[in-house]
Amino acid sequence: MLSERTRTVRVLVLGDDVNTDLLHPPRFFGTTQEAVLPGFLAGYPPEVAAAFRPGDLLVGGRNFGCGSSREAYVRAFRYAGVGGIIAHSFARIFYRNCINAGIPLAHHPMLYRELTSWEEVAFDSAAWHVTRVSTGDTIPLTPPPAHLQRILAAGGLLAYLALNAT
Amino acid sequence: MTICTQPLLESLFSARLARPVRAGEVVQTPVDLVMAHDATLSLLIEDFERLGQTVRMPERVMVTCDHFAPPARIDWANLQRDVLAFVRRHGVPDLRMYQGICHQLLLEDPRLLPGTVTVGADSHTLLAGAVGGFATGLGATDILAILATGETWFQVPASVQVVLTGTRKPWVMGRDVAFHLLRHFGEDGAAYRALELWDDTGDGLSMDARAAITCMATEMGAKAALFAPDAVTVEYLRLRDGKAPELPLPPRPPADTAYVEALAVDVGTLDSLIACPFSPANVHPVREVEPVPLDEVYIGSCAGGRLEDLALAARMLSGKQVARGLKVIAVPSSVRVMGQAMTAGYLQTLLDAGVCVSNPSCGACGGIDKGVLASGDRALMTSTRNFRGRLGPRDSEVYLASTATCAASALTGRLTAPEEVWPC
Repeated sequence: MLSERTRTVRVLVLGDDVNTDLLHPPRFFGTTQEAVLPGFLAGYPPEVAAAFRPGDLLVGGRNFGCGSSREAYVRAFRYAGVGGIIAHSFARIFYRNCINAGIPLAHHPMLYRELTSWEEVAFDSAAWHVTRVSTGDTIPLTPPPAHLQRILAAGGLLAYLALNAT
Repeated sequence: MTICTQPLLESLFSARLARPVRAGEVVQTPVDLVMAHDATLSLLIEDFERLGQTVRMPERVMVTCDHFAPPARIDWANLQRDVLAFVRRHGVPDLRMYQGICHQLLLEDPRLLPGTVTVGADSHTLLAGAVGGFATGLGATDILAILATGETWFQVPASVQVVLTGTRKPWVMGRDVAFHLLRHFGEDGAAYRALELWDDTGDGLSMDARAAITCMATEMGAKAALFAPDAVTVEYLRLRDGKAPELPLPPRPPADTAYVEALAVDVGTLDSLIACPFSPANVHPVREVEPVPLDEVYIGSCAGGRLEDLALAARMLSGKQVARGLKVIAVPSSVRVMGQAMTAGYLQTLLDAGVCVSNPSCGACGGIDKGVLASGDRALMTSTRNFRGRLGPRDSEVYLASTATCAASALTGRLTAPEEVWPC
């Protein structure tokens, strides 16, 4: 049974060393939705971004999000509705940026080899697992450490700071 | 039981927190210097104001206008207007208007000293570790929190000790040492780790060469990279600050120190290296790569464009002309560097050779201006990254190399190893 906090979404499976210039090329730098959203996944062929629907997950391999610190890509993720990112490992700035933006991140060493793009899964970002719709298999994920889960639970670093302001 | 000596970075955090700190611990620490530039600062302004925050320690902040320098598009001009208004509103004294690339400006700043903690809203902030402190890049939201609170958290990274020995061939630069390390580590082999570099080379690496290495440690996934302070550091700081630093030079930690890896590099064995598309870690000797024709050669960015680069480029291009129809662009990394290159005559030499010398800024390295690529273009650059689509359309290609390789290739119009045009 799927609980209420899970949603059935699809996955976009990417590879190793997915860099921020593929996820969001620098020419789409900006602060507004009109400026940044067209850059979402613009390092890939255009049909990739066209197929992405709000809530879908990004699934990748080693060193996901290597490259730039610029959070224009985080804004693009928000506007595109990225529901979460699961990878073998994350580049460190990218990891902090997504947590700070309240985008759930989890580790799984092999998921990007097991799933295929656009297959349906149920993602539970509280119990930290995904369930393959085709097979019913539930795959546990490694969640962020506790001090970062608190930031995620607050909805991101800004909300966390506001909550903890004296 | 004896207490093992700590890597330099763990010693740095232990001294700051006044207790023994080990790799893997999450520590909360004040920061000494915070850098944000016109692109990344623009991302946090709206949230900062909405939350009613104030800049807690404005004297520790450096704001640079270097990405849109000056703006080439109206939307970028609008972002920069907002950044300038932020600086005025919050009384940040240190505003660097078109003075150069943020990382070079940190390197030139008297507040950047061995043992300090520096953060910047840009991934290549690791460069500032060249003088022997902890320096790392963060996203805009983390920087927002640091501006508001003056501190942040870090997981103290484990350290890799890198000892450099030997004497370089005359055309082998700091950038080639960085490529060698990239070949070793790949794009994530140093992830979440710090590189601790010791320079035992015959002629010593200049601060310019060291900065090229610590800058490119970013592309190895490293959290930080620091050169152990030595005589080169002391002399650099003396010239920079007009006085000798009061600085105990750290002794080399013994063999039982808790490094995760120890690496020895004989720089005398290195040839000029190149990173082929589409990864900074796709490294090969220049001489083993097909001498493909080029459309553009770019000498600049925080990984090149310093005085040592401009001096060598001028020496190699002196009295010659760059290949016909080739776009050759040189962008000094700061106004100070540009002034020194002007006084030394390097800029005139480059101009006479047919090089377009532009004003200090991030330029084409960030895919912003001053040499972005056309569809199908192939470029050779000293810049930091050659990811697909960063500097032009998906079908454009970027090779990364040292200034020596760039200057040699500017003469021939194809990928050329520096020794082919040496002696010069």
